[in-house]
Amino acid sequence: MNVTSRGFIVFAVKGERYGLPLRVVAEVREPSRSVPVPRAPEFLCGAMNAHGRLVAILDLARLLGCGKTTSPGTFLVLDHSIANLALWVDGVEGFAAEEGEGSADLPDNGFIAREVQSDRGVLKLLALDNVLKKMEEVFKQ
Amino acid sequence: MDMSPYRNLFVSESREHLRAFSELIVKLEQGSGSREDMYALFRSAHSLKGMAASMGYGDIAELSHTIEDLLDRVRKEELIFDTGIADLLLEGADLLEVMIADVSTELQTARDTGDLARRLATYRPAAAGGVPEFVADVKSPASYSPSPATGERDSHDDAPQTVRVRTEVLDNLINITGELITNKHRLLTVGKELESAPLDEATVELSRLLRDLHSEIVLVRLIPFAAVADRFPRVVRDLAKKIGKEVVFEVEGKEIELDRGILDELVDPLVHILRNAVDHALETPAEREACGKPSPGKIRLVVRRQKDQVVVVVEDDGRGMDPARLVDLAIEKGLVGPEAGRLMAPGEAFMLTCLPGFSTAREVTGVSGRGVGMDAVRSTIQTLGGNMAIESELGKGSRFILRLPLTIAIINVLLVRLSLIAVAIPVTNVQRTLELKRSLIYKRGRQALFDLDGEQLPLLSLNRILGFPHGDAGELLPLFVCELKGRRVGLVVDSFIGQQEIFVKPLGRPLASMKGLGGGAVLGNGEVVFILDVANLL
Repeated sequence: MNVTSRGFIVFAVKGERYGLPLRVVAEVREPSRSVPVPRAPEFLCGAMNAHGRLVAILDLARLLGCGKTTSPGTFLVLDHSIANLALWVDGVEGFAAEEGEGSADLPDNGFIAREVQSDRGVLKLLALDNVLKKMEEVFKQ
Repeated sequence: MDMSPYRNLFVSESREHLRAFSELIVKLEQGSGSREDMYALFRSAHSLKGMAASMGYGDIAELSHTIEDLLDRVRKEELIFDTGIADLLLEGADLLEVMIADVSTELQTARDTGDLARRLATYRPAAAGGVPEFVADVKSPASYSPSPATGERDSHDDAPQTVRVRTEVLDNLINITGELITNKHRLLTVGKELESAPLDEATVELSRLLRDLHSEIVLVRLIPFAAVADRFPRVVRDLAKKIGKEVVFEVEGKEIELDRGILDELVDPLVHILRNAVDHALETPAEREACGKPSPGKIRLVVRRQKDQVVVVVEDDGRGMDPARLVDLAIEKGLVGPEAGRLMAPGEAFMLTCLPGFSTAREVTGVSGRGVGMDAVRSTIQTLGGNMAIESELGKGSRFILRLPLTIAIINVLLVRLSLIAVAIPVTNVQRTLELKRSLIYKRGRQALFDLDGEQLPLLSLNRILGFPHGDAGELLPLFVCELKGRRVGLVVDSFIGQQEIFVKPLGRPLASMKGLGGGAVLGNGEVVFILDVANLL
């Protein structure tokens, strides 16, 4: 596959296939030691030291309202220019390139930016900014 | 020739000139300026003109030239330095600031300078009024001549050599030093496990070198208070003029140096305290005269170094505060209970003004009520690792005392163990640590209390505040005393780990939004700890 700026990393959450642009993911790593975060809502399952950065760990399944991520799962550490955040997902399938638009019928929680057709099937692209805004909104309460 | 490499230098030097410019104008307008101040003002305009001309910024050079011309007329005693001149010069400084910002952002905007230039060139004083005036004593000393634009600084053979360093480089230096300190703690941890004498010796030597390195880096990051102080006279002057008050404003200790990170954060709180002082603390000239005070009120901003802290004091000779009235208001608003209110010492009563939701009716006049209340001021100071106190005497005035650490990137913390994690509390927020016998705890309603130095303090569980389960509780409860929302409280922890120097890592997005967390750090054993933002814990 030709990985271009339109390429996505494909991961699974509760049997659904999701995608994120490659440029926003800095690292894919095995879950490592984390500490609980004070006053954390259920979807925030801890924080860890990622190469000197303190990174919060988001249980994406919980935020999306579809249960909880199954251990051990995988961490997708976002690029530091986006956030100090790792997404805990069930697993990473690989990379994909966009081949066309998918369904326009999106869930109304705002966490999915759009659907695309790819060589791995239909992907739901995460609306990262909305995910972060939601987390911050809950943290401030 | 490509001038772009010099643009940043031009912008930073021009801003330095403009900062001094505004302060000097206010000083001269108030009559406290000297002949040297007048020359300094003239030199600033002259230098700005030369620098702008050499860079090809014609509009800036032209406006500076017109300002310089007006100042020249004052210098030659054709004009006296009055409020009209001050207003025009400040307007000029504001416009120059905008034009320099355009240069900084490479914005190709043509600013209309024509009207101001015309008013500067044709200025005639208004008929004599009651405004304070400064008559420039310009008996042209032979020693004065404007320096050429690029040769502004005096050169002394014995002067220490200096270089300009980008602020990112300074930030990187402190970050690397912080990481080295974290690694030193790792080595100490490994050393303890290995029981190796040579390793211990090497670690002790490394610790000594790191202390020296840290001290030097802290020194490099220090910036004199003058870097921000120059804007305060203008703030006080403009507000006083707007609301018809007369103010003599003095700044002392501008040479005292603080970490640039602290200095940046200090500006808004100080502006708020100063605006409050002008708007609320000082009486009107008529009120002052009626109670036998001089017509102009006095506000002093004093900065001094005290051991490893910097103390910033804002004091006024205004109406002062009545602690009993503050307590009554707080009870009325339901911010404190009647019994707690009765027990409050005056110092505690003054701190009620920093409670969220506390404001006297006059504090929402739109002058000081800009959404940044005294609660935000205190919160910022505490977040910077400092603390704040208020002293006041009815009819005589008030003093706001801010105590700040020299640096914020590497701080001393008290490490405590809770049921699930360890957390760090900046030592500047810890008033005392103790172990309390359970038998000394009593209850009032649902609130657990204990006595300390004759004072009843609420007892809270840090585990519960942070949403963790209860830890192991023995007969002795380890606790530390700190100030939460203006009240001293005891916070119970599971155990004390000890005091340690740590490198503060910013939390970034999204954890920075989490209430009560001020940062994070990595301990020598690799454990992540959160640094509590005590001011915002509840």
